[in-house]
Amino acid sequence: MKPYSLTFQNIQKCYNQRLLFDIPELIIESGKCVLLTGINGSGKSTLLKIVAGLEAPDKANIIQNGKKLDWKSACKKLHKEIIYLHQTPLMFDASVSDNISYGMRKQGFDRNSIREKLNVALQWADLEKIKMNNARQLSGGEKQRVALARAYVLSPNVLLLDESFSNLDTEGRKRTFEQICKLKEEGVGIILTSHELTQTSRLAEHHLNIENGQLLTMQNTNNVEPYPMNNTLPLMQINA
Amino acid sequence: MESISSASFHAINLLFSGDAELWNIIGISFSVSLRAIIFAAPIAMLLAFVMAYHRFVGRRILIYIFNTLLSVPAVVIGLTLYILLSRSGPLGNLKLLFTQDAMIIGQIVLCLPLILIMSHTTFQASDRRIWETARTLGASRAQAMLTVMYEIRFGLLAALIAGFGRIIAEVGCSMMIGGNILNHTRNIPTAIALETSKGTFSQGIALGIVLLLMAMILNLSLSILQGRGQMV
Repeated sequence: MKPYSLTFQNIQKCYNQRLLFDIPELIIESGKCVLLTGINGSGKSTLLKIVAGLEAPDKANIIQNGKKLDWKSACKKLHKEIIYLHQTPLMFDASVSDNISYGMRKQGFDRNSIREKLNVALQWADLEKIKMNNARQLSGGEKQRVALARAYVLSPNVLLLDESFSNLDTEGRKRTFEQICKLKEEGVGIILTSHELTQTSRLAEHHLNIENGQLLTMQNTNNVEPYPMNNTLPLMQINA
Repeated sequence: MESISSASFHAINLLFSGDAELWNIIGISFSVSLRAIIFAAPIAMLLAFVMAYHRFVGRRILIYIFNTLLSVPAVVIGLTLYILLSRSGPLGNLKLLFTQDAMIIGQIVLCLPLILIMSHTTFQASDRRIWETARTLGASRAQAMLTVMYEIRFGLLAALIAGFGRIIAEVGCSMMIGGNILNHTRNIPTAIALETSKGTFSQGIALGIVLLLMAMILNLSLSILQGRGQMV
């Protein structure tokens, strides 16, 4: 996978004329994982949706691989290169196979390529036995695996996981965690939001916290490198 | 004047004997109403989708206008179209008055607000994650819209059925701009009105049975669809 970097500068979002957040810089790089935390209503999901191009910011500068983009052209790219996964993934009213191949069909992949990638994904997510089942009838953990397989087949540059570990049992969490690790190893940049810090902080190089509309850098337990952010941002430490 | 029992017996006889005039009226009714639905449905659903999924100036006014149009009586729409389509009217040159095309226009005006408002409610109630998931997986706006429509298809079908129910039994507008011409613009409701005024009930009862049967089928389909929609 080619090295990829995406920078959002001065992201501002207001709701009902109340400033939700004003973030000077957010950088996403291939193969790196950012853990995003914050209390309910702090704007984590909104920020992820802006990064995925699903929600327009009030203000933002977007720089992709060193090239500055306006929101309209960035949106098209973001939809193709970034995949956002909901806390409870939505399953289309179709079989597991059809759900996984949805994105490939819409993006115009050829039939052979779809079949090939689908088989790999079914094996990758261990969904072969239930490939013809209606995806809506699956358990929470199985739905999460389908959602990850649906993203995996499209080889995204960045994966945004919104509370993907909640609503899962221990086994489900373990499997999801393993799958996310595999994606990261393959070079996918990841931003995940979670209230469960023990497991996710092992995965993330950087830990950011949204507080009072500001993005604060948190020192991670296994922080391997400093987050390439504006130095003026306050530094906080968790579990200190 | 026929007794109710003999008129009913005659009506059933007319239906099963394949009376050409009667079945022609039924054919015109269904043909006109189906064509009106085919024209109105895509416009109504597209508008409903835009109104539910996009914020733009005048959106609330548009919803208010369509809600108002829902309760406008058919005769008022008939009268307005009559004025517009009559020879001295602004659209008189089109020579549409007393034609099936005029009836189709009238029925489109009647059913479009109902389909639109019902579809709008369905789109509003739909899970936003459908749109977001489709878009994030690379679907274009049009593809994502079709995905949303497929996922809420039972609600949209219910809107179509309700729209069809509104126009197939409508008499005021069809009578005014169709003219109730035999074998041309006479449909079930206008034929019933005419037969009743003549005091010959058998054909009216036969057509009434067809409408009742259709209402039963439509209601049954609606409840099945609404039930399925809730299950999903």
